[in-house]
Amino acid sequence: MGNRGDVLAALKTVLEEISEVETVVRVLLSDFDVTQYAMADLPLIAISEPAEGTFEEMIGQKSVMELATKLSIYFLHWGISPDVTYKALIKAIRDKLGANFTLSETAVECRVAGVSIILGTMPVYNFAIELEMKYHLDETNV
Amino acid sequence: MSPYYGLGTKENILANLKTVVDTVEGIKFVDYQRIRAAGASVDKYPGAYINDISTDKERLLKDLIRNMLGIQLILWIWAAKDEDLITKQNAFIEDVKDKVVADPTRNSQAYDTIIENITTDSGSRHPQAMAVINMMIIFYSEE
Repeated sequence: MGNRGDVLAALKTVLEEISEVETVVRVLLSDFDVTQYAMADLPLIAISEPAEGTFEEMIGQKSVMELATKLSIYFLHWGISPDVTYKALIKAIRDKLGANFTLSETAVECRVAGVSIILGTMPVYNFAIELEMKYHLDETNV
Repeated sequence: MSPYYGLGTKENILANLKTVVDTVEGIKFVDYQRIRAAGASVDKYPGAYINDISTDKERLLKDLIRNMLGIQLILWIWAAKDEDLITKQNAFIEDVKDKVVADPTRNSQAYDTIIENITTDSGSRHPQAMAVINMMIIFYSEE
């Protein structure tokens, strides 16, 4: 059993363990402004507040809930092509989540639903990773 | 990660431009922030004045700014009695332009140097002509 807050807190903790990543923040996307961060803060992952819904109703006021969120990843690249850094970050994030897909047992699963192309211009680029997370909710404990 | 190129300062970029324009064959005089050749003696022709005319800044990060530096290179040309003024003017413009674009990174201080347009004074009369090279230099800075 879990809850929304624990899942998101665990997601942040897991992402902070990625050695290639300097900063992980939880944000409301409307509030997020990358210009408030310095070069030394990048690569940075911004976890946006997720959309939430019931994935499956179960018996006894229990249900499987689904959280859909987007990771916005910002990174610096001074070279001609940012592809190498982009691919390295995708791999690091996917490997980390794949190795801990229960997010320290707060969730049933956490999976990557999609990865965007590179956006931005030299030297500050960004891309997004769509995440879907599920957790068991026991409403008798709410 | 060390910068590949593009992180620089306006002062170093202007100094690089002067160094580069100084190497143009036959150039006699290079200075900053001047408009007219009035008062310059004939031995200072051909000359070039490097004028920075605008800087647009876009903040990318707390400590990283993209700068769009507008530069006007004002060129003064003098033709001897038996020389064709326009031919000499065009040759001088070509020499200056070639030197400027040979290293668009301004010795790794800029991301790019873009020559936007070149105008000549259609009213030039022998022995003096002028031309203006407008360029945009893009560089990044921490302030």
